Amino acid sequence: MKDVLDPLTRLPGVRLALIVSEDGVPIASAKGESSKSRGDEEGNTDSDEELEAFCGLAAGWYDEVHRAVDPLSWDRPSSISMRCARGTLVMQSCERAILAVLLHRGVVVEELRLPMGSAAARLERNRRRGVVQETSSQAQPSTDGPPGLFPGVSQSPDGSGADVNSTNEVPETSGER
Amino acid sequence: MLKRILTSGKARTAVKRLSEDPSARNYLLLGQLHASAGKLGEVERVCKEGLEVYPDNAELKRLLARAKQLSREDRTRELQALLKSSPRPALWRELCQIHLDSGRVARAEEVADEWFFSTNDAEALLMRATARCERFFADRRRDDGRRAHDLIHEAIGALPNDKRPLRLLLDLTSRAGAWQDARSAIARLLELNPGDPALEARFRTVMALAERSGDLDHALRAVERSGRLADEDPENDRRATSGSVRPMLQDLAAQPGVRGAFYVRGGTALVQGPRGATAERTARGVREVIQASRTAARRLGLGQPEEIRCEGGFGTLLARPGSTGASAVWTEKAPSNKQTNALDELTATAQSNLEDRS
Repeated sequence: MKDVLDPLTRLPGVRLALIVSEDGVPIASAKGESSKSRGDEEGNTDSDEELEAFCGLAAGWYDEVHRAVDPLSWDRPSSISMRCARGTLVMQSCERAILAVLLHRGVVVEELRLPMGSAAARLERNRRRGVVQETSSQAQPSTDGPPGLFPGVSQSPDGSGADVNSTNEVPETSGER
Repeated sequence: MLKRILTSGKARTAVKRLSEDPSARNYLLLGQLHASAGKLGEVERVCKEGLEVYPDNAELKRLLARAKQLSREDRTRELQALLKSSPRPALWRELCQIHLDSGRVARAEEVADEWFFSTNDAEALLMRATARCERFFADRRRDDGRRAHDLIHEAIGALPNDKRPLRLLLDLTSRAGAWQDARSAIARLLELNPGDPALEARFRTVMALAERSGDLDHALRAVERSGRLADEDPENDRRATSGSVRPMLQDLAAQPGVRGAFYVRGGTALVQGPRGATAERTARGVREVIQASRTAARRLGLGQPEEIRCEGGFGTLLARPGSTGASAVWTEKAPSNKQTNALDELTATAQSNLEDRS
């Protein structure tokens, strides 16, 4: 997750970058470098409780916006942002998670469009890689477990199939002369 | 140097053009030239002059606000340098006031805290209370209101015969709708200033209200829940300003790529683009998006929302909430600068219409 959030935190004006689950649970967070250097002017979200509350409220807002546009037959918004008197919140939907960035006042949201797109793609790539690794680890043959239903069946090492030793002989010729 | 010479030449031409044709566009052009030369005082002077002739011009208003903001930023830097070399109460107070005027309430509070902890001055305590009150008025959170109330009482203790903390208490309690506390604040003010006819009249009004109101906590909870202060009219009771807004909405909806233009205010909405039941449904959706965003911004401690953007397969929905209503545009792709400017103008016009009417 660090490789997803780090490029965002290096951007000027970024206070906080977050990955939040769709139900508002914080998955990862990183503080912006500009925030660290100049101190947080517009309020802090330093403690864990505050961060959790922030994530919950932000995800709740995303959900409410989705609920508001749902009767219009609009699909779930891919990205929502809100520029306010004391900062800007930008949220982008990724698969099964939301990427959120809190900006200082005066930062233009457009400047964040490309980096957030890249971060979302990186997150998606990480997720896919994780799925592939998980699948391959599950597919490893186990030697400790009990034998299968058919002890005579030998499992192929790549898990792609099974060789069955059959005693039935197939005639080489059809027998018709 | 070369830039300055070129700009001064252009400024002379712009002045000449303005004297021949004193239109809003020429005022704006001259103001922009002064701005690029860094003459902020001149920008303010030109904009004010232009606004006397064209009081509704949104571009001139925006330029004036920007010039004032830049002047305040310059002064902030000067004050910060002065406070390092020779800190004194007048400088602290001015710096806090600049932050408050610029809407940087949290920063104002930080400066007031710094001032208080370095000098233990009662004036600093009053400034902390003022900053927290402003925060409550902006965010409408119960905790802020409660903290502001405590700070005001500390300030009253530190400045026993001063009317300012009592005035602040009256402001906080009456805007929150805590009429019992407001009544006691007026009573204390009357002790300091007996026979003041304005205070006496207010006392009589508040007496009637206090009989059927709850305590401060109850009032603060109501403000947090509704997001509305007691001195604000419910939006539903007001009519949408359809006078000059409708043609602007029509212009906006006629632009290429625009699927709908909306002006939403309380329970009413003006819609251009979608028709019939779709118009009604879309307006409801837009209103709910704005309402949800306002509530979320307040809870997240971000202050009042200025722009809400929603993107997806449906296109882009861009909304500009103002203090009185909100305008929004639904476009196929990202809205162009022209569309964004039209939306700004729409919000500003609707607001000024309502102010004129009131």
